[in-house]
Amino acid sequence: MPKVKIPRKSTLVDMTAMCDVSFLLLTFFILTTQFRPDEAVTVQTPGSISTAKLPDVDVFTITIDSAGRTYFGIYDHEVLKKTIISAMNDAYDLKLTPEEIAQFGKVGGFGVPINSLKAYLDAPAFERKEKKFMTGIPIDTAHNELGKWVTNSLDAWYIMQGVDTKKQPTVAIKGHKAAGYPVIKRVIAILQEENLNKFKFVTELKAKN
Amino acid sequence: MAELDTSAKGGKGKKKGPKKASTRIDLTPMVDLAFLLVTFFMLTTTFSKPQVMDIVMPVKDKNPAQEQESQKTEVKQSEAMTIIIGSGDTLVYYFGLDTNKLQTIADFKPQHNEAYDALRKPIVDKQAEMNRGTDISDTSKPKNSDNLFVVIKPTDFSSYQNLVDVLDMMNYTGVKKYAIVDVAESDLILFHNRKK
Repeated sequence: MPKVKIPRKSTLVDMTAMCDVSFLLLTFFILTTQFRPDEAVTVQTPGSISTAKLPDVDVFTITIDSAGRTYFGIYDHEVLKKTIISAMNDAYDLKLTPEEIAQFGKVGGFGVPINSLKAYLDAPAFERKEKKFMTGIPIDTAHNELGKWVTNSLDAWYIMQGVDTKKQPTVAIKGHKAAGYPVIKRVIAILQEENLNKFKFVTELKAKN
Repeated sequence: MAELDTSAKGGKGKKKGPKKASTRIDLTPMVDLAFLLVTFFMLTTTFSKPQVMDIVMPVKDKNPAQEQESQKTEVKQSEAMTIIIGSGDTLVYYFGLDTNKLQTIADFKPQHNEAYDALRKPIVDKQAEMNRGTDISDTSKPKNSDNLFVVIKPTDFSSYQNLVDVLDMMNYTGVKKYAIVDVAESDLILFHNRKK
């Protein structure tokens, strides 16, 4: 019996279509991407049905982790950050060098007490997430450093916007779900001392049940 | 993987001309690279901005003695509800000054729908009771139920999650007036003596 010949087909596939699709996706992602802002810690926020979004600019974030440590974050604006750190430099007599002040302009969120701020800024970026630099900003009444940060930040922001600005800065509290209420209460009290009675709680989207 | 072009081989009757180079290029490495970049952008992108919940606290007077005189908001007993958030995801609530009819909700956690319903139902019922006999079809007019005033008292043993959940319930049920208030000692006693 003669063998049945199976014609051999090439295994090569035309890649043009695949290439088209992948570059289309690539273009889409390049255009829509927004790099995640650098945060000191990632916290799990509680869910809510609220649909309002956190704006990108004019935002100061106070992050509270599950252990009740507080971190402060300033939105991405180098000039503003340098103004704030200069004000803090004067207030606490930190003797920061111009390089350290420039370094602060690149920091996203941080949680160090004021006395280790100099060491924090001197450390290379990859070392800043180490445990010794994640101790949180003191909030007790004796060393209310968070309050100082908030005051100086808002002052610098208002100077930058001009006195007759109609805009308002947003202060957001981003708490871990397991954070205890006393810390939240203290942070709210600090904000109220600065005459800030409107602020936002950062939450995650939750389906209505 | 390069493709060989066989079509340009000289045929029998054809003249031998200069070899025609194939215009087909192997695109596999290009696709590899493109997908690598796609993956990178997919992982770094943040599609959704975080959600926020607006909180407005009453303006604090620097002088507490003056505050008592001028800034106290009077709330009718029939329009008030108090929620005390205690320890262990448990909360108690009562209407007006009716502390005898204190109700307890245990296990108030996001994954427990029954506990959510246990808080939602009394609020919705109260709103319905306040609206009874009035026309609520006209949305431009304020409803009676808009006057419902909920006082939220988180104790030091409650978690942030509890507070946000209760605030979320306010938004969900459409309660217009609510306030976060510090607990008094009497509230702690109420919570302690609740029915278990």
